[in-house]
Amino acid sequence: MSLPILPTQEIGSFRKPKYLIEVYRKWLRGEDVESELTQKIRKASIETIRLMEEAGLDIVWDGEMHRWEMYYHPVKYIDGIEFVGQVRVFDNRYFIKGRVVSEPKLIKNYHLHEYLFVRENARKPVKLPVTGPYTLADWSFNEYYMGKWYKEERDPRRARRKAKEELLFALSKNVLNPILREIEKVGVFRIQIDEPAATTHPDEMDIFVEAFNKSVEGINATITTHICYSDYRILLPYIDSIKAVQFALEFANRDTWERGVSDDKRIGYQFLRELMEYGYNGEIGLGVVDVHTDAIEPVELIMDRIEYALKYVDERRLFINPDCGLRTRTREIGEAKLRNMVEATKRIRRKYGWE
Amino acid sequence: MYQAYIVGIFPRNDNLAYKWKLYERGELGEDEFLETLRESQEEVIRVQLEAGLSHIHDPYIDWHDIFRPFTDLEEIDIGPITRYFENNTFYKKPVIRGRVRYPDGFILNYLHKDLMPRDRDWVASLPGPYTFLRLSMYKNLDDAKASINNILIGSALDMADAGYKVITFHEPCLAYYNDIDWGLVQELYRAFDEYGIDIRIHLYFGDVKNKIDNLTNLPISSFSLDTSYTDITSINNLDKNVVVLGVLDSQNTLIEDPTHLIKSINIFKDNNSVDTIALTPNTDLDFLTFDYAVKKVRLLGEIYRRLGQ
Repeated sequence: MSLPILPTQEIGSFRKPKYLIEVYRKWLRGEDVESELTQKIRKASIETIRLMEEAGLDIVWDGEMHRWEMYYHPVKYIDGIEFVGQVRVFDNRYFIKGRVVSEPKLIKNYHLHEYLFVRENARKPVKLPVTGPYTLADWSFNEYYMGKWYKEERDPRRARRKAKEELLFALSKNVLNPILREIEKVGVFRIQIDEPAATTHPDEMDIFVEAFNKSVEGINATITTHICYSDYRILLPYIDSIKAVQFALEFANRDTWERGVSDDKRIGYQFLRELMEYGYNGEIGLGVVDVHTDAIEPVELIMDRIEYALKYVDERRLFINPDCGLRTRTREIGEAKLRNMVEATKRIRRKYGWE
Repeated sequence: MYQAYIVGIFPRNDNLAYKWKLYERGELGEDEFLETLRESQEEVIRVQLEAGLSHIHDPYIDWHDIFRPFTDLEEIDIGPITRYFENNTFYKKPVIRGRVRYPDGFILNYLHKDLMPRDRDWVASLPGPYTFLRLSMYKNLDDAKASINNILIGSALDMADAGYKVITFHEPCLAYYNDIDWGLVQELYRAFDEYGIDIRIHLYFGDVKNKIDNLTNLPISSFSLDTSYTDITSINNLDKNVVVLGVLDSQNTLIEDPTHLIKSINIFKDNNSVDTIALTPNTDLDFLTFDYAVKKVRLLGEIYRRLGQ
């Protein structure tokens, strides 16, 4: 499938319509709404695919309508991790967290059905976002493996690392790799491994890379990754070892809203210089709109951000996307951000004759 | 002698988190929201009392993060959302724009003295000055240092006047980072000298075994050791009036074996000369669900009881 120069894409999640959230809430409370939920998911999925297509994105997804949330959805289908309740992420935002109580094993491929549904209904190329093993491990309370190690190892840091390593490799081997192998068989354009937790523990980068690569081992598809809200410099020494052709990163949240393409105006994008100096020659997914503010970035500001990035990244390697999933904003605001992002990209393409 | 208390922010229960969301969206009136908040605060105090802790921490369930009250001050803004160390928890960076003044009594708006029990000593938490500085954004270092000292000295004095006996300064940066300018840390704590504030610094997210000399040289009354990072059985010859041991892991639902912990605490006690050992979780219980935070508080109470016998 051919893509234009500076392909535009969503990262993954998008705010669910109210009618879907209401049914999900009933389902989370344990009410018998399975068939209603399936019906509403399909409706919302198609509506969101259309919204993204009409906004002009070149690569689409359905905003994760089939998933309550990027951690909850996979864990529901993994034996060995039990939900314990909600834990704060920031302010009054929470996620439902699980505790590992035995070796994780896959109950059912939780992406195959949704992927086939989205692909069948989309008119544009589809990218499948998949929560990565490191994020699943890092966002879980690691009771089972820590329970094994904390009394045996006097050094608590060594105990924690051993416990993490065992959990991580079990998730790669028993969960992620089997899922991706099955998806590969039906044909897939791009798979984005979401690893927001990737650089969270700098001293675990080696096991992050190993688990990532074990997860995609033997998968004949274009693999990309998304990482956000962290110190990307930690990635640098490992970036060539990670089997992903693209790093889609958040930048806009750390940037100013002032116009211009100078370093002091584009402070959020300084990592690009370090990345290119390091010699990275893969794709970059450039976060150009902030998913944590309702303010809608003007087209001209987004153009400045893209033009700044073009100083460091060849246009054939640059993809344009929001910082992260837009589920944090209303659908109206999310759509307005995507439309401005697409318009800014089109203007840049026109300006440089890349249409 | 032992003490036992919790530190920092306590998790909101599900009902409060839900009502908070409704309130933010304008779907719940202020009276009902405040009533739920108050009931939840009373519950956090009750949990500590029932566990038999020696000191009771202010509920701290209305703090979004350890810096947030202070971004309500003039000359400090709320900055970008930022990962809090190696956690899936984020804080909003304080942005210090100029020289911040501390209005008398400011911090008392974020404490709940009226709910605190009369028959126990009280604990409150503040960010430590080094962590505050390192995790903030500012253009002028001198202004930032002066601002942070104004804020923290003012807050600590107000807390002490209000009856909080233990003020614990959260300094994860001192444990986590290795590139610490100890001269700067000294300078920040020296500013407290003339006020007679009893400073306990709480250290977590890192092993401080190799920093103990630096820590003992600070003008503070005590510091903590996080047993999730530091093997306390390997610490020897520490001579302090008070040492705080963060013995429970606030980041894992695994309920520690009290016998195993007591054994480690006893080894530490035998190898060091410490008059008072304060037992705490290693960090804020806010990393756990409400139910697991309660379980950890109960476990802390059990260890305290067994050590006292």
